[in-house]
Amino acid sequence: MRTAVIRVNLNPAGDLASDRLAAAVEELRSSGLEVIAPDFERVPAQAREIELLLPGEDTAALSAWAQNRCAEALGDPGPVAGAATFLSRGTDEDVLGVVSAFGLTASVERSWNNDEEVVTVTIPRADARRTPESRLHTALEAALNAEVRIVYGESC
Amino acid sequence: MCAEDEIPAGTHKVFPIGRHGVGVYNVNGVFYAIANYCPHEGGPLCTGRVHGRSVVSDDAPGGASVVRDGEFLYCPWHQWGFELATGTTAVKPEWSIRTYPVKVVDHKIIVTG
Repeated sequence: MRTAVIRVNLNPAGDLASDRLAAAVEELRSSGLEVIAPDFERVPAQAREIELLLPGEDTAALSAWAQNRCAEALGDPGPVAGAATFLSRGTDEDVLGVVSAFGLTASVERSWNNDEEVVTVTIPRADARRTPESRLHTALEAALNAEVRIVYGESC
Repeated sequence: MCAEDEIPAGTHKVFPIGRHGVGVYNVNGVFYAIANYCPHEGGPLCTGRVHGRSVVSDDAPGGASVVRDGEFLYCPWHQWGFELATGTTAVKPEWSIRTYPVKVVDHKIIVTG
């Protein structure tokens, strides 16, 4: 399963004290959540954003959950979820996630060539004309840190 | 990979891992590892500068402030910025740079796949 990075602005109104936000982050962490948070004292009041690392693929559901969970920890209905992204650990799920972000489907095969991993990503031939291949290729090589070969097949 | 004190806070080293290499960064004592490849056009990400992120701040001169200094890496080719901890940017959610868990054991840095 992929890991989503869900951004939540804890207090867009900027009217809560920093120590209250820090206490909410501690509460989230003590419940087992992985949270990336800034030093709230050094961030403009309206931009005090944290990130929750959550397993899952449905960003809408994860964002809604994160927003509610942050509101509960803070004791205030103010938190607002923002952009959602995904970590990449170079797995097949990460490959398929990147491909799907480009609106495509694919199948993935891994092989080795002179001690270097090669990942072959097969895209349906019907999608070839609307595939921004160079964009997809650089995105996949960054997500994998491995050689990527994009080929077109009949189906996936 | 190396001894912990070979990468002091605020510095990094690039190691020959994977197709493009992996940069290991020390951000105030916390180590992060990220692939040396920009998802935009394939630039050598780890030769870029490390900085913070700009956010709107009505009270600051120019209307913007830099937050979380040292936690973001900017590609030298086109200045795309990525969070070291996650390898992502909110500007382009479809991009995810491969990151690697880092452990420090007996003062040695270990990057795991």
